[in-house]
Amino acid sequence: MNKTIFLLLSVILCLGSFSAYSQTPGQGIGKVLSQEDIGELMYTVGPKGKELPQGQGTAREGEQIYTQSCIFCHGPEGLNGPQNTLKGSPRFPFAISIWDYIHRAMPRSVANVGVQERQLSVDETYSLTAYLLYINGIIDQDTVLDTDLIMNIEMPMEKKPVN
Amino acid sequence: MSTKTTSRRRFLKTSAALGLTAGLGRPSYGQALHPDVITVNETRARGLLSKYEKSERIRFRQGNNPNATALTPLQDLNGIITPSELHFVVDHENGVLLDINPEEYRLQITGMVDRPLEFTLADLKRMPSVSSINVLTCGSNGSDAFREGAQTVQQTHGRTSTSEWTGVSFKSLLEEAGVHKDAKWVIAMAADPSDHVSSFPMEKAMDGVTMAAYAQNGESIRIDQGYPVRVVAPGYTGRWLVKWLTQLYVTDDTYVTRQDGYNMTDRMPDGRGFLLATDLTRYFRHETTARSVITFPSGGQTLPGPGYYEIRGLAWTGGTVKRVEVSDDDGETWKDAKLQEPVLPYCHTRFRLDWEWDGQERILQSRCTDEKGYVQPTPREVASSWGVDPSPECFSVMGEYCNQVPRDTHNSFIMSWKIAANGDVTNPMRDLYPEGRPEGLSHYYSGGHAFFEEDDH
Repeated sequence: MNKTIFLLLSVILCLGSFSAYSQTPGQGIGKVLSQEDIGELMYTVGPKGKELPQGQGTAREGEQIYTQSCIFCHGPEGLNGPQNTLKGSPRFPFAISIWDYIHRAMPRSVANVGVQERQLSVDETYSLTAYLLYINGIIDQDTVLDTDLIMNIEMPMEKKPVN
Repeated sequence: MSTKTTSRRRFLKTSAALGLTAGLGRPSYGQALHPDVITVNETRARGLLSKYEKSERIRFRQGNNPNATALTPLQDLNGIITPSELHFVVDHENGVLLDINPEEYRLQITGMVDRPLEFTLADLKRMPSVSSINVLTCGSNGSDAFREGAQTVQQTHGRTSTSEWTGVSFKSLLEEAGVHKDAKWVIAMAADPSDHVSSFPMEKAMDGVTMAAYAQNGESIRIDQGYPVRVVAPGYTGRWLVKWLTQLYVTDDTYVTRQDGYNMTDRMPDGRGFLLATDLTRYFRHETTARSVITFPSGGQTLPGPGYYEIRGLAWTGGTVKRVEVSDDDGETWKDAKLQEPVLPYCHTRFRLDWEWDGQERILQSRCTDEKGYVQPTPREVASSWGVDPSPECFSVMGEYCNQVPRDTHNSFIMSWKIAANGDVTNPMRDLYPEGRPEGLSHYYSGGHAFFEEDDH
């Protein structure tokens, strides 16, 4: 009887350990990355901002960058450009998603106006995010958008579930 | 390859002069025609397409990125497999694609893992491989049925294709790196010019089939499918299946990226705001819902006269197709179509129905039911069910507030084709539903991928 219970417990314990996602040793395929290697990689910033680097900027600063690098595709104040409209009702629940996308993907290179692909610094990304928030009436022109503030921006959209 | 076309008549003359085959003097093709002959002077490195075959991908929507979309010619295809070169493309570029040297390709596994790893393509091909025949569907597929000028099934539903995909499962990759116990999401990052990033719940990433795919229908994937490696995740809509995959980032939270913001979170029934179940968006439209469309007869075709026709079409869903019904009287009565084997999960299923056309005006429709009991709705059913969950099963990946989330039916509504008395087949959707596309969908499809939504939508 004791043996049966022991066996049963073993089985349950085994099943339990298999149900967690594995931390088993691998086959040794692939190169192990160092922290330095990882620092070089592209990263994406989630809504809780864990990956967000410290920095700051204002819409006034962002407007200069916008005029140099963005206006060609997105038009004055985010309207009437050949590419996406940037002014209207925000479609993002988190301001940080704007920072994330600008950081990862903007600007695209446009050869004939000399825009360099993805050459924005962290602070420039904060400034451009501030500019987009400014032209959409979410912050003021001289508000300093920094790591704390961007986490606490209330985007003007409903945040409750449908009942 | 150089090929030379000569007329058969001349070929016959030459052959006769050379005293080759006496029998060639008669038409041996059974059609009493004089087909051209192709003379091949080199090894046929790739199969030749007859000059009579004109089937090709087209673009239809003229948005900001006119070269971003290439639609599969569903009306020309048979069976369930889409030839790789006819597989649809929706990328968010303007014809700017990466062509990555496979020698330089790297895939990193980072985040909450014991061993952050980097794989070469050779590493991936050395690992255990998985193959899966899967449909890929853009979430917007069908939306153009209401667009002015949409005539053919290629234009209305050409954003769906089926291939056999082969690659390494996320599970193998993640196990190699050793995933932390409290990790819940895998964020797939891509090198595409739009920097698509998509969030996979850990359960999906660990299903053993969701894969980093390097092959399509037996050969390396095409450039416009993300050569050399893309994501394939059975049942998920195309949005999640990032191409030019470069990194799997393991984390404990979902990510709301640009692409999630504009088309992957739901809206309130009145069109305002996002549906947020908690402080973070909990609901993604991950799975394709039950869909079907008749490919013959379909818009732009003409029936020569009354009599027998085999109605044919494709059905698919984020699971397995259980039933397809066909109506020829605008949904008044329905008949069960035959499902052509193989009927595979996460895959196109071909259906067929014997049909006698009486020469009268007809509205043809097909309706798919999947193994979850989900029945493809009409546009008006979509509109009336907006805000409720008609499905028997909870689809929220987080399992929260499930019944409060509008069931995702967006563009999966039943498609109609009108057969006129003269045999012409046209798209009648704008006439049948003058109210337009169902409420709530206009936001999903605002004609462009605006970062901020324009106020007039």
